[in-house]
Amino acid sequence: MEFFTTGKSRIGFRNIHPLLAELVRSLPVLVDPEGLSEAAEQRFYPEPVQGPEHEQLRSDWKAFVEPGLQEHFRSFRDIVSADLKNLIEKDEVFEISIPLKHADAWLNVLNQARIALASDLGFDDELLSSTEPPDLVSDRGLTAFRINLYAFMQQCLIEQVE
Amino acid sequence: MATKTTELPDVETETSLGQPWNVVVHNDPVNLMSYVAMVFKRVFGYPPERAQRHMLEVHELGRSILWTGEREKAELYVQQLHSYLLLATLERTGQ
Repeated sequence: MEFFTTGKSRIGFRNIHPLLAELVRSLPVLVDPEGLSEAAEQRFYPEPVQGPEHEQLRSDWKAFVEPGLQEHFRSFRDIVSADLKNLIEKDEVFEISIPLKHADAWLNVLNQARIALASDLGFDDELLSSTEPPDLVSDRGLTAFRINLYAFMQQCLIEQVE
Repeated sequence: MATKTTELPDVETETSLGQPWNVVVHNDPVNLMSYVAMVFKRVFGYPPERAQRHMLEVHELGRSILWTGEREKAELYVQQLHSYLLLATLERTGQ
C-alpha cells in the first residue's frame, strides 16, 4: 500500500492488498454512532472539566456543545463514506483517490476509528507503541494491526496537509 | 547591538470576574504525536517549535497547559480540541 498525489488537488493510496482494502472500506461502520461502545462514546465526548463544583458546566456542555461535535463527526463520516465509492480494484489490488480538500475529514475519521478500536479493547501506550509484529490470529492482534494501518494512513495525510 | 527574543507565556489579561482558566491537554495512547502537534498549530496558531514542545510535554509529563485566559475563550479552545478528538479540559488557575 502506498500513498500518492496527483497534481495539487488529489491524493490517494494504491497497491492496496484486498484485505487492507476491506479494512479501509469498513471505516464508516467502525465509527457508526449506533455501534459505538460506552467506552468509545465517553472518549469521543470527554467531559470538559473535572471536579464536583462544575456540574452546571458539564450539563451545559452536554446540552449545547456535544450536539455540535456529533454533527461535526457525522459530516466527516459522510465525506469519507462517499469517497469510499472510489475504492476500486485494479489488477487484483485496490486504489482510492480523494480530493486533497477531504484530507481533514479522512484524518478525523481515521482518528475516530483508532479511538473506537483502542477504547473497546483498552489499549494503552505500551501496547500501541509495541514494535512486535501483531498476532493476527487473536482479536487483540488484529485490532492492533488495524490501528497501525489507520495510523500509517493518517501519517501520510498529515505530511501532505502540513 | 545584539537583540534577544524572549518567549512570553501565552496568558491573556482576565477581563471578567474570577480567576483565569487553563486549557489543558492530557496524554492519550491513541493520537499520533505528529497529529497532536498539527492540531496545536491549527487551533492556537503556535509556531512548529512551540507546538512540538507542548506535544512532547503532553507525551512525557501526561499533560500540558496550552493557553490561559478568560473562560469563554478557553471553552472555545476545548471545544475545538475535542473536535479533533484530543483529550482536553478547562481548569481554574491555581487548582
